[in-house]
Amino acid sequence: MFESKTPTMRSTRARRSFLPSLSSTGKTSLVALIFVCALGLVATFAPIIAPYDPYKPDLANVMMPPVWFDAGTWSHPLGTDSLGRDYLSRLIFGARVSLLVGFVATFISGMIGTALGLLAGYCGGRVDATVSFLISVRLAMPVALAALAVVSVAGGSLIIIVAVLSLLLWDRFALVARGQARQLRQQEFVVAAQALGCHPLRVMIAEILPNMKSALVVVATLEVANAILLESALSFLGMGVKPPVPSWGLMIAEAKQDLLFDSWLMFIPGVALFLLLLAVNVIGDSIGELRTQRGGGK
Amino acid sequence: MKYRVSTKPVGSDWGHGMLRYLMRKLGLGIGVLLCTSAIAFFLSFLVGDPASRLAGESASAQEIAQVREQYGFDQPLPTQYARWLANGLAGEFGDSLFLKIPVTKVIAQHLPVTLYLASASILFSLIFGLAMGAIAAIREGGAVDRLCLFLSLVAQATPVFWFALIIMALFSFGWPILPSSGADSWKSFVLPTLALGFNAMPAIIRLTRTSLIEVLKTDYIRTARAKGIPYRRVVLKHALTNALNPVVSVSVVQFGYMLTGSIVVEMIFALHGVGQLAWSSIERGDIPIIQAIILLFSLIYVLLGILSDIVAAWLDPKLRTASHV
Amino acid sequence: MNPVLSVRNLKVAFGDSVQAVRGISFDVYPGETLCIVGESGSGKSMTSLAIMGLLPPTACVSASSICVTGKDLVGLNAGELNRLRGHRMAMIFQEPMTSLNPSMRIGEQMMESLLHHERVSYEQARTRAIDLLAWTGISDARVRMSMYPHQLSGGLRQRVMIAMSLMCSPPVLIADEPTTALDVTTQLKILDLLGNVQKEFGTAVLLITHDLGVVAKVADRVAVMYGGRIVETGPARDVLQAPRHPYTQALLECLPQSRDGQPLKVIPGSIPIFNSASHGCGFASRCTQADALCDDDERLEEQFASGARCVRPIRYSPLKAGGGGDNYA
Repeated sequence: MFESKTPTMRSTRARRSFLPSLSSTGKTSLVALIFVCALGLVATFAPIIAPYDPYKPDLANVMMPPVWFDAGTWSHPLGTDSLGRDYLSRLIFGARVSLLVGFVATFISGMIGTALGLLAGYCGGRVDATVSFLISVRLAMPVALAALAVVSVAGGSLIIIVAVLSLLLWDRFALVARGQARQLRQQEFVVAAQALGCHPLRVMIAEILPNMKSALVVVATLEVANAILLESALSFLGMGVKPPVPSWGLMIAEAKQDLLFDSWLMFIPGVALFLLLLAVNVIGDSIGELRTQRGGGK
Repeated sequence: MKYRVSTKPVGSDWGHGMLRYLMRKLGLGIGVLLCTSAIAFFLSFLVGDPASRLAGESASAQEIAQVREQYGFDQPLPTQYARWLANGLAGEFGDSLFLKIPVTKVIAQHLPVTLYLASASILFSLIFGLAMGAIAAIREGGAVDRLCLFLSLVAQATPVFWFALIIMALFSFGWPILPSSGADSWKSFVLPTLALGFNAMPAIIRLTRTSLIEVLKTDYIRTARAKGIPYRRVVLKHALTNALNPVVSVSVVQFGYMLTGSIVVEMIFALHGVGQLAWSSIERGDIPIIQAIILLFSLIYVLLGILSDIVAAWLDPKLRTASHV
Repeated sequence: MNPVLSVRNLKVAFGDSVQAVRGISFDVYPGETLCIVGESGSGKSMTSLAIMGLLPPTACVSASSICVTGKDLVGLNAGELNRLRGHRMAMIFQEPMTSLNPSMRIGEQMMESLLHHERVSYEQARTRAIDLLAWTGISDARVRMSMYPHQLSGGLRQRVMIAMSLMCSPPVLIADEPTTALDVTTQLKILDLLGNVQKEFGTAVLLITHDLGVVAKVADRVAVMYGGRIVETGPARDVLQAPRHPYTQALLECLPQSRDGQPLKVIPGSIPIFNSASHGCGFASRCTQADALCDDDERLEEQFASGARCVRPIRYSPLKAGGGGDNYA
């Protein structure tokens, strides 16, 4: 393992660069992107796509296994849960919760974090000190704990969850925005805009912000994954959306007691979560790679 | 600004600048803690009237008023906060609403399990994360590198609670070799450690890999190789010592995140740690415990942040020997 | 006398598209300094890195032979190469600011190679390190041993590099532009030091540089590189005063003259990138005397035996042997 990379006098062939239309990482991120979009479509048109009503219990068909088991049928391809509700339909509706919370919470926290970071990085001085302090406070708060506490108190509606997550996930946005703003404010085009007498707000929004886009997009994908993860964790702990609303985390929690004999109940929503998170991470990684390839510019 | 070069050899490496830097960090930390404690304190008032909650559901208005006076809920909020904080500094957080024993005692009972779990998990993720990140960096672009990155990606996309359930199903029920609950022996910590450690690994793998790749491209590594030193020594002694700086300081902070992760893991594996205590307290609405735990976690986070800075400085000779920062 | 370093037909290529070194051969004898001089892009640094085996795996290095004190480097595996590196051949680099490990003390970095290559005790290695540091002109050598690189200036760091390279008394020292990154006064001191290395230890020095002034000061022999090939070689005094290859002459003419008011001369055009399809004299596209003969590789090779790879080398009448130009030394 520890051989050095001496070419010695052997004829070490130079690595051939594969140049198909898309690199292998490009292909995986394309697949990931298609997956997320498809999931988004499925979630949007859930009432039309889902074969059954996810809320309607059917006590005659309780705990039917999925179609790949002997006892499974195609009428319920993913089986039914302990209340006889079709699992596939619940899964589809659960996608709504994950995607909605993930993207909306990230969007809002992105707005908050970017605004704070931009101000801090551009203005410097006391503004910067204040925002940095705020970030430190936020970082010192145990996120999950605070979220749990607030949600337990304020109830488990979707709006509350989105609000809580939005207020907790802005720190990385703020840090990155601050760093970028500090770097960019010394660039010539910013100085030029200032020399022209542009209002600081205009400089920030029109000159600096557009140049931070790619860095922020990378952070955004990471935070989407984070938000989805947090929401599912909250639901799993019973502090997320309240039953009978299907959320993948909640479905896993409900499946916990049947772990021994009907473990597919726990596997299926978990796999769905895993695939979604995988896709988001892959997209984030390839955007990050694109940035470094282009030299960290736009 | 004067920059005095320290010529002292081993032992008295720490310059004045380092101390001043630490004091500043400490001051900042205290400020942060005050804020988080305030947030934790005012959290309880989201619920509504604590007095009526304490008095019970069937209490009359008079009894509620009595409770309010007794516990001082009629005082203005800032005063209540000040009192709570002052008490807290003395270690007095009042009694648990449900267990009727002092909060500090309850937490002290539950803390060792969590600390044990968190330490074991961070050790696990460090050992495997460092090894994989290092190997991936040395064989950059190769099959091993891609494998490590893939594994890191998978670990990042796996929700910790789901992974915990899977390994419980596999190793407790599938092959019953490890206990699924309780804290009887070290065996009951294996699965929880695996769950938490697996969750923390990707960050360490990536950071180690990136850091080591960068270091291996430097001039001084080229010099070391030019001296004819075996590559193993070049990597282990020259490269890793420089590459590990950022990793170690990040790991210290990661330890803090283990604490929040422990909430879910302890709940699943029925370990009686602070995480599980937090969760059950939230379920029951046991406010004093929740407040104390939030404060405790914040304190640990802040301390870990400072410790991380100390470690980073200790590892970097430039900061260590400077007399002005 | 046998050469300490003997290179035959060294080639360095990156894929098919870039050939950095296109077959060079030279010898370095004990106690002498051979300067390889050329512009950036001539392949001179590649040469030194290739000999030491420090090029990245994407580089394709081949040679008929590379002999260090009689031992051929071609075909050696990594372990065997490591036994020679630092021990029989040492190298110092251009950037002293980044060439030392920032997390290790100077003493440890210095003693490392000796402790590894030879069976000496810790104390012996330490003594030698201190002696060498003092010899290179570093004051308070004992104290400096426990210092970190960032506590030393650039000039001091380069001295440390030189001392470090001499720890195992290598017969050949390769110096890749050792003074480029230093200020002028320090440059002279380091060059003096290198001269002393040669005189006192009998070390053969292979000095890579782009600076003709350096050549004039320290070189015994010089090899002029252009486009991955040696275009002229010979005793330094002869080459500098009576260059035979048009490129060498053009280089010398580019040096600022002491006459005021004269515009600086440049060589028109720029170095082309050579690939596997290139042939003939690489300088032909920029040479004022080029013609069809310049494309003949065989002819060029024949001519090189007499010192200059040119079908039309500059000739001097015996009278002109003393001065072909002004102020080079």
